[in-house]
Amino acid sequence: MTETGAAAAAVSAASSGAAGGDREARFDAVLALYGPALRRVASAYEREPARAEDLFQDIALALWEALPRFRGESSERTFVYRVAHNRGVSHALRHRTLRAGDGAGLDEAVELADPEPSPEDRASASQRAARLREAVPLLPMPLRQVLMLLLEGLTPREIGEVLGLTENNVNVRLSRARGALRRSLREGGAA
Amino acid sequence: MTTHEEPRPDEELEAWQSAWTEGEIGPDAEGRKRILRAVRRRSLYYALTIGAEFLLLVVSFSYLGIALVVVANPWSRGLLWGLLGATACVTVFGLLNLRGTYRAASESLAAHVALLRLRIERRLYGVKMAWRFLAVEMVLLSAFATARALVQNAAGEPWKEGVLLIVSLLVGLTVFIGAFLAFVARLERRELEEVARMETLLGPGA
Repeated sequence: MTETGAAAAAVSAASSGAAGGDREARFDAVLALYGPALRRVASAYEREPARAEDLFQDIALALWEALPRFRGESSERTFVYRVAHNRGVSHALRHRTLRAGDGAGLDEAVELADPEPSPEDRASASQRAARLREAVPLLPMPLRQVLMLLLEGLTPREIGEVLGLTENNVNVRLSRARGALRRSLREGGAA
Repeated sequence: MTTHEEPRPDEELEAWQSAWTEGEIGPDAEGRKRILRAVRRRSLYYALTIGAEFLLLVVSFSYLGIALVVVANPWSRGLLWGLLGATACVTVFGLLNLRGTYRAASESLAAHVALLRLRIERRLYGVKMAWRFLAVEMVLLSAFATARALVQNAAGEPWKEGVLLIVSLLVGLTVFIGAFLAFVARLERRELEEVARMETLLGPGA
């Protein structure tokens, strides 16, 4: 069994225990499994570190409150990401962090092929990781949301479940998001 | 033909995924306990905030209720009824907004945003109702004061000083509260505009 599989099994075990009121065990298992992913979601919605931490705690609180109501209508993974993204959207509204460029990118064509080796290819793995984490939060929100979930390993169907979109819509957004990210990484690398 | 071979989409995605999750490990048991403590603190803080608001409302209603029993002056009673109505409006919409505060977080994004809009609209509606209540109250009291003054004048009783004082107090207080409510309404409208932007941004299907 993989590490993720073992952790998921722990969440399930804790979930069945939660019927007996073991809310803490369930919350703990969810945090152990999704903690890093939730931090990444928070950082993608809020670039300022102190506020991102605040958002992470907000997400944790929302999960704490929402977990007892989880009845398994969807997978636990999509449930956790849904709570996180909804809190992220609330945060963006509360702190007015919607940017002028957030609406852009939805109607743009997918990128053109680059004839030169991209700086992305030449960069080291850690540089790539750093650039990726800087580039994703700068994408327009609709593209950022789908891309973030794709990078977390969700399938288009699961992304649709989290965001309430059809699979087709998700695929269209994903294609644009990947194009936008490629462009952003190239421009960032060239700068 | 290009001089550089583009990575296959799947390879590119795998590279991004590994870069995205690189070096991230979950919080250890101590870290998770710390998060749980922080969550409990927040939960308590939230409950205390709501408790404080409730307390404020209980004090307001008690004060207004007692004042209505004690005060005999008709203008003051009119003012008290107005304040009581305005407070009730804000309370009702506040209570409605308390229901299912966290339920929204676990529903679809569309439902979540719709609920955010509904909550702001409720608050805005509460403020508008309170403002209307005060406006109606001011009109009624002014009419009452005028009628009473006319009666007293006809009976040859002194009336000007008392009536003018009460009317100016009423107008002053109502204008002050009205200005405050208008300010709150402005904030709520701005938030509503932000929700509308969000709805446009997330597009159809969301």
